[in-house]
Amino acid sequence: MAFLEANGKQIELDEDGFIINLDDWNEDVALALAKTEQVEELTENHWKVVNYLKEYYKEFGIAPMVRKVVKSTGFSLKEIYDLFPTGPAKGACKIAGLPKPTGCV
Amino acid sequence: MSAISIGNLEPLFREDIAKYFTTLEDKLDFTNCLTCGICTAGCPYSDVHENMDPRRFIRKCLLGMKEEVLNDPFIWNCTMCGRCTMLCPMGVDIAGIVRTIRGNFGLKAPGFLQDVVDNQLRTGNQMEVSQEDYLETLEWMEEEVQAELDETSVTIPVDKVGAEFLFLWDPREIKYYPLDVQSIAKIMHAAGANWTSSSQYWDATHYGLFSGDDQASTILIKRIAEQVKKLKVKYLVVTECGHATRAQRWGRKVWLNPEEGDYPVYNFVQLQAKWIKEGIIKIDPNRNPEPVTFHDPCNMVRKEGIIDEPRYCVNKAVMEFREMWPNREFNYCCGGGGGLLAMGADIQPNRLAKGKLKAEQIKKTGAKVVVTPCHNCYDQLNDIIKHYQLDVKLKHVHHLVSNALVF
Repeated sequence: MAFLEANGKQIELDEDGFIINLDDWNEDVALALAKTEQVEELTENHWKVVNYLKEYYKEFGIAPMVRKVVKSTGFSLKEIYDLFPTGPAKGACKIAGLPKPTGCV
Repeated sequence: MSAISIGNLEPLFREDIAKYFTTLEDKLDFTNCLTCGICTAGCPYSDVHENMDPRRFIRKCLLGMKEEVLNDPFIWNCTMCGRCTMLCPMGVDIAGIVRTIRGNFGLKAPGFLQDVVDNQLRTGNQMEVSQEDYLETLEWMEEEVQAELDETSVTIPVDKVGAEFLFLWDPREIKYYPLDVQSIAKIMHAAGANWTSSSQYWDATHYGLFSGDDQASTILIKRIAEQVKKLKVKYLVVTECGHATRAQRWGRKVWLNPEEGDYPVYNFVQLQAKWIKEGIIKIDPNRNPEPVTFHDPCNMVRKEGIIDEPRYCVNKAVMEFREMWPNREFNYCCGGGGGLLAMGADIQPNRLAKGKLKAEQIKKTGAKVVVTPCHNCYDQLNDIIKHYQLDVKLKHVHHLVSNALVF
């Protein structure tokens, strides 16, 4: 079992580095997860995307399509990739504390 | 090594297997096994981790060691890559027997493999993308290509009756990687392709191939066959995805009546190769200056024989192409085939152990880019690159081609 160290606490991760218990998520955890996805700091723009993903997941129980992320946050696809170099599916969703999406992702 | 208890053998087990075995060959061919062990010698992974011995598995099946077979971790460790069968003097289809055992004896697949099949049956695609969201993404990408090329005539046609071919997507292209949609649509436009997608069933993927559930597989393949008929296209084209290519080509022969499954199926790399060869699209290799190597997806290359076309595309689209060794139909599986990427944490250590061979193959080429026309291999390669810290980027064939397009 893999663990992530965030603010002195051990957070349990799945085999792909996604957090297992969504209740473990907080801003320190998000920052620690960000560093595993080539994001060194979380700016206001990062938070805009992360918060949107969290809200969407809370409401629908799955990750949103990239189309929805772009439309709702107002960022272009290029801007999303600049913010999250490993992409919206794995990078941004992981940082937002969403579980690894099922299917061929 | 433990003794085999004759009293516990079930000699009719082989007939049970044959009854459920989905194959185009004789259903009892697997009983021709000579016990020679070439399968195990040919399996790249037989000495990489435990419970990875095809010969042991097929012998257990033929001896009637039913309980041992059903509890054998080999069933889930095997990536169904088919290298053993290619080398077997009797053509014993071990991957086919693995599939039969997985799907017909009440076993539950590890991880989320079954969820993927269920999602696709329930919603029409494995990622539960609604029709509205799907169509909106296509429209969005149509606008993006128009802007990129400064050309308002670019379209991503949907439900165009009488188009030359129907294109099937991998839902992850639609949901998570719309830039792939853009790249593909750009090539279609450059080629002047008369193509369409279906608004109803457009998912190329087919995890019934991995779970062994023929009932699910038949439903999934029928949906696609209906779109081909309804839209009156001449043929079907599958996006760069190995197992989907296998499922759509081979699957139409085993799960449909001959008259239902009489349409030709190609992979998108075959179209790209044709268009480059015939001068229909022009590409400039100087746009891709870094050295590139190619990973052969088993389902597309070894099983479906699409060997030269992707190489032709890559060779034409890049400055320097370096083969890894072994390659073509002798290539090693990435280690993530057969649905292993959907089998979760328990299978992951074995999956990454298998990946070490691929990491070494890649490293030896010194290439800076690995290209593969398969999303499943792509994900496994991604994990391999991270785990073994390789300094390479990952791409599909269409990425290189669309990047090199000259208008």
